[in-house]
Amino acid sequence: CGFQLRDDYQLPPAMQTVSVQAPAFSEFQQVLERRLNLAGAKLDGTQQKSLIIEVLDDTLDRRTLSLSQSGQVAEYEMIYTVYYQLIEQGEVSAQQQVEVYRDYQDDPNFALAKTREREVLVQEMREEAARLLLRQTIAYLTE
Amino acid sequence: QQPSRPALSEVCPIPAPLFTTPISPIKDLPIGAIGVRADRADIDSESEVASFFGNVEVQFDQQQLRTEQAQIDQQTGNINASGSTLFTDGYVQVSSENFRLNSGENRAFLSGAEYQLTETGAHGKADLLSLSPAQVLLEGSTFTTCPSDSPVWQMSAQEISLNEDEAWGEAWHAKFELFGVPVLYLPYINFPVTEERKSGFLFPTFGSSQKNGFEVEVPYYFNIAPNMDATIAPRYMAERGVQMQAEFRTLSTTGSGQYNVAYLESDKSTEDNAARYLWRVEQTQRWGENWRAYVNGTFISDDDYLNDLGSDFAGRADAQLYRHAQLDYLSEDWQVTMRAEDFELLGSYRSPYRTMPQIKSFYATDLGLDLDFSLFSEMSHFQNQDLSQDTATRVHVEPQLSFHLEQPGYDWLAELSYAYTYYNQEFELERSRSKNPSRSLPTFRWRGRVNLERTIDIQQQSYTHTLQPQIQYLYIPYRDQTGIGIYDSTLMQDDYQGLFRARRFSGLDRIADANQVTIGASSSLFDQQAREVARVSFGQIYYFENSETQLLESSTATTESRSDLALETRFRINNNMYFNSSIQYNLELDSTRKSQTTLEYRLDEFNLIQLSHRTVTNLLENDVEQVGMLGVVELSPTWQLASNWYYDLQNNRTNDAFIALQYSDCCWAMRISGYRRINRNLELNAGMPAVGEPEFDNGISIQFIIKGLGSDNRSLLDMLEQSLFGYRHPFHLSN
Amino acid sequence: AQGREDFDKPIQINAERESFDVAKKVAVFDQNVVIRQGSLSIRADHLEVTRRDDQTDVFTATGSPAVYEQQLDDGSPITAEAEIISYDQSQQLLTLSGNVKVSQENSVIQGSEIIYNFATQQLSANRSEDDADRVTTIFMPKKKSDNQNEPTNR
Repeated sequence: CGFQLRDDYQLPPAMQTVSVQAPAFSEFQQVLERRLNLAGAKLDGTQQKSLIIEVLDDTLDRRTLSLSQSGQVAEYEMIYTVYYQLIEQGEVSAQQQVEVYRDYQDDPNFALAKTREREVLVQEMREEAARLLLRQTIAYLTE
Repeated sequence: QQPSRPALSEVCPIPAPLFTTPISPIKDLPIGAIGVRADRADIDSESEVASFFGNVEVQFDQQQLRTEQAQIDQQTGNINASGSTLFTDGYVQVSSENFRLNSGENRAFLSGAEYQLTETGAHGKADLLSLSPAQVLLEGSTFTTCPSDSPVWQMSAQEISLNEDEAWGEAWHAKFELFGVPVLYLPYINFPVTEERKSGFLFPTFGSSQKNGFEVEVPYYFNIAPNMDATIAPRYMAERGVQMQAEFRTLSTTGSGQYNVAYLESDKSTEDNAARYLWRVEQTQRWGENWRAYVNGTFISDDDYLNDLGSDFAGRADAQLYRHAQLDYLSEDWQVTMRAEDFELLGSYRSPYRTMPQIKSFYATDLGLDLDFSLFSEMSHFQNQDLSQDTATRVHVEPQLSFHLEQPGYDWLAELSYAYTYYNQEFELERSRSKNPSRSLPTFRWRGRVNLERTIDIQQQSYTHTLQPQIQYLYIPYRDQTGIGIYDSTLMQDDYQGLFRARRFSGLDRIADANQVTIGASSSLFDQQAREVARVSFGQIYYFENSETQLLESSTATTESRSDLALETRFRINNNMYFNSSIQYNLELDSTRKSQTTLEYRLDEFNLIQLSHRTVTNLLENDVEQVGMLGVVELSPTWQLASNWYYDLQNNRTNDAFIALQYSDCCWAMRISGYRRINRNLELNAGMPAVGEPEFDNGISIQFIIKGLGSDNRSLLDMLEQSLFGYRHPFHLSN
Repeated sequence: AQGREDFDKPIQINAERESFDVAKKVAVFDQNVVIRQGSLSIRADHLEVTRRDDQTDVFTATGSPAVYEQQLDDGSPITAEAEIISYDQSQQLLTLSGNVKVSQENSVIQGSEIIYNFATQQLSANRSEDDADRVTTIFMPKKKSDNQNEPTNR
């Protein structure tokens, strides 16, 4: 049915060496660097020709999805957004954006435990955002 | 292909400048020199006073003056001009009866003046206008941002000061006139003249609603220093009284802070005239490359505060407020966090545990050959919020070795970790907790994934179709953890991602035994810009042994096997129609666990309608099924209609309904809206979530907003964002 | 007043060619005409001096342009250029016409006709009807530039 092992995944030449710039203390930077590493890119900012992925900001928004019987919030939707831009030899691309949505149930009876669950979800959303960002960057570079 | 919306300039033209024909600059006029053109010039070289007559144009630096006749003292540079004069310095344009410049003080005086700010077109009259390099002082003057000569709103004041680099104006003894009728007198007021520096409407807003009655809020902005500002906004509510709201913001290169307080001394609408307040702290601070501190906490006087008075920092229907203070040490491969967390639960729920404090450290290093070693350790001291003697201390250490090989075609992950946890529980009477239980258990996880891809064409559009089958084996031996209290553990929501997690319970108090295989596959469709258009994922767990570990009761033990089917898709039907749906189906129970479908017709940012339907089965022991509609229609460049409506099919009630009609002109806007929402008076019924039909709060609200020129905020969409379901509350990302 | 003493000094005129029209009582000087009187000097291409009945003279110098220079009391120079510079001794009027430019230490005046009255120390510049642009004056106020650094005393 036409499926074959994804082997043409070699990173585009521009992405052989990559460096990630991000605001101070950005947890997303570490997740993105691990993802780039696993994908075979060499993380090295000294090369002149290396691609710079500049993470401008990452935000986590929350929206009410449904109400419980008492009228209080039963479910939230979490929206994790990463704003970034690509810099190739000094030439800056337009600002790009990646968004990941996850809904999450609120249970005030287990407030601390639900906070821990939210932290697990946020970490998973960061990994998902890093995967999407990598895929979008490859598509952008091979356009 | 969108119909061209009339640009703001057609609806709100910036008034023509007073200077109809600009003065052509005098050639090679040195800096600081005064250049004059006139029909006739008489210079008395004795007194060095030069007088000019007829078509006099005076130019010095960026200031230009056009008058009938002028006297200029060559010695001092003082200028006196009379007859109809026109003056501008780039920031303000003034037409007046005369003009006097005292060059020593560098201050000009114009009487009988009509002025207009070049950039925003704000204009008015002044008996006496005095100008210094960046400040305009108006005595006996008026100010309005309405372009027309008979402005809808106008402020007349004994003294107005406009500051060019402040983008703010101040007025003393100010009288506000709406449609020519004086409405409000204020001894002092400041107001934005341009849009920068502080967002939001910082002009006074008037309105009325059923719960608060007539309401007026007048913000005062204080620009304390370039990196510090404060806003005081008294809010008068006829039904409740005057609430003082204050916000202080500070910004430095290494951190920023925002402090808010809203204090209503006695709320007339409550029986005991209770004080209602909200105060909030948010501060981040960094030291050097590695250290960071963060504090965030919102505190309210009573559980109904948010529902009655609303706030920018929490939604009306929120059930809890999370507060935490945190100190982080972050370096390349070692992160340590010390934090304290606390909760305010709105309504009566199980008393939560605080962490007072928690210290966690994560160290990871790459051993090469795709091998990683990481050490996670944590020390937490829990304290029950209501029973202060119910405290416990937990120490947890978990080294982990993981092998992660990733190739384009496949990736292979093997993890082996050993977790040791020790407790010291003070409050061991309750439910057979033991004093110093400890638990140590290994976890083994092996996961293999294959990445298959092909490109296919759908409707002449080429897509990348991916298929990713994966298999995971997880082994965790059973340990009797009944002697351990429940502090930060609960069963995590069972969705597709949960099938592949190593842990079924959040936190560390319960680590479920597992001897299971999960097989699954996920297939996605990506368009050329690598945007995911559709995704289908399937997962099934086979339990070789049933997991014995429970939380509190036995309900969390597992059955023979569990499998979920998750379907997610979002695509464009045509240029303006979008469809978005996600369904999660449980094959064992043969029931849809969760489904969300949205259909949106979007012409542009000002014309859209969105229909949504959501179902959830067995969410905290009851089902949820809610439909929603959200719509904004632009009837004309100045008239807009917006509405949203959410109906709860399960409880057969309207959760939230709202309709608003807005007339928006260049310098003012009027919003008439009707709303129906659940009135959560948690205090009233002793906090127990109302079993029967909750009370509703219906009301009409009229809002009159004065706005500066140039701000194109005619869209009602931001207003819908403020409504219950649209509310997007920014979360801190420190975790 | 400005430059008053110069007018008591003797007038020296030299030029390459001189001639004298006895009937009309007009002396004519041509080419590199220089008139000197104390610190005052006028350089022109052509000069006519007419003696009037009251024994006072009227000097009319033309040049492209004719240049008038003088030292003021405070030592600062004043220079003026014009197509025609004429000086009427009895009325003590100096009249400059034809794209005139008078520049003093901190000011410059340009116009089509400027009249300076030595007696009243009044200078007035006019725009002639047919001429398109008006009189232009540029000056750097001393006071303003002086107190740039001094604290302004209220």
